[in-house]
Amino acid sequence: MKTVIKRQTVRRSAFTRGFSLPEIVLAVAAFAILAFPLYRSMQTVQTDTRKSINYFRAMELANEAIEYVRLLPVDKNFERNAEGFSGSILVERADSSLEAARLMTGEHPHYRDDLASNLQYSSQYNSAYFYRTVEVHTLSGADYSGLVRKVVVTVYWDNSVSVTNLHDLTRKTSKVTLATLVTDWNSQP
Amino acid sequence: MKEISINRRTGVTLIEIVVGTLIISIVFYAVSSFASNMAFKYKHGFVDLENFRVAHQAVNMLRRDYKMACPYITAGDGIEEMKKFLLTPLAVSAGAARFVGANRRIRVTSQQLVFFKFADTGFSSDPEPMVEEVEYRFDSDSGCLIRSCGGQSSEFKGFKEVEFKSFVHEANPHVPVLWAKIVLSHEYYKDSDKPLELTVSLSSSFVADSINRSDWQYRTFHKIK
Repeated sequence: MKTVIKRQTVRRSAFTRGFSLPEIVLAVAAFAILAFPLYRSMQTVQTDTRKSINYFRAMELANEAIEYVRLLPVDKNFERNAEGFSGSILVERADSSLEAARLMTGEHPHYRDDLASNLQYSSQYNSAYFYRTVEVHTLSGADYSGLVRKVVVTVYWDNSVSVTNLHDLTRKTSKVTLATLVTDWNSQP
Repeated sequence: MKEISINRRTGVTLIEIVVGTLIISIVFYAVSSFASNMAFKYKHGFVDLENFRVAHQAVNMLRRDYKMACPYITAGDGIEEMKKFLLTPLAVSAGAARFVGANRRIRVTSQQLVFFKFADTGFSSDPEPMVEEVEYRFDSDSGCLIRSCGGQSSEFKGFKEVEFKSFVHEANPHVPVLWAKIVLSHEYYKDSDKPLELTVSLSSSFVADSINRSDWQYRTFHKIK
């Protein structure tokens, strides 16, 4: 006896049949399109956080330069000494690699070993390539303008940019400027 | 001829279940890891920023206080003792041991900074200006930098480490400078990057002027507030 299997045609609903390749591709594409802005925003948050932290650090570096300038006696060498605080927060080693700068510490006969002598900026500062300039301006105009000097500190830095020349300020992407007045008591009448 | 009708609405086979489960697992893993990674990065960024903002706030407060720092010199000290106070205004301890007892210099240890500062008394005509004691102390257990002044204290939270040191700059080695390092707490992301650091240098206008301008002959004694 011959058995014939007759296929019964069943009209399946949209919920019971499988997915075709175009449907899967379309679904993946739709998910990717929706996920991409989220991914981008995540990257933006990271970048903005880094930028804000660099900004805070730049502000502190500028404040620090002003503190150093205020240590100096205001005499004939004041301008030269103050502008000596300019420079990169990174130094280039003999093998061309870069490392965080050390603070220029001195010695005090009274305190001797109690003072720190080997202070260095954190290596976390390296990626921003901070560079600081200090300028001293004499003021003119009012009668008392000779009594004060204007000190302008500018800190330049880069956000996620590779830098080859530490001293090239033309390509720096960000900067912050602080200014203060220093009294020149010697020029009092 | 015998006809057998087959109903196609049968169950799913084991292989179909395994493959389906596998596909769903892979998709679920991809989506959940993407979402958790995104949430982690957001939290990382925001907590970093918040802690950095608090650190910046603490540094601003410290800078403002330390700008007016001075040794506490009383009339009983006399002029000769006053000169010593002015020329060596700091008492520095390289270790973590705290200063105990009466010490009227600016006291610097690795986790504690105590000094007197000119009190904000408005336009006082008192010939002996008021000073008040300020203490900055880092509590490593709670990760707080605690500022105490005038019986009140305020806390700056979210730090892993705070360290104070003193140094003299090569440009003027007569005037001591305070150096502070703040390391942000990173307990919520132990396995990720190194914790963020911020370093600052601070100076006291009074200390700098009394050393640089010794010809002014500062002869004013202080009173405690």
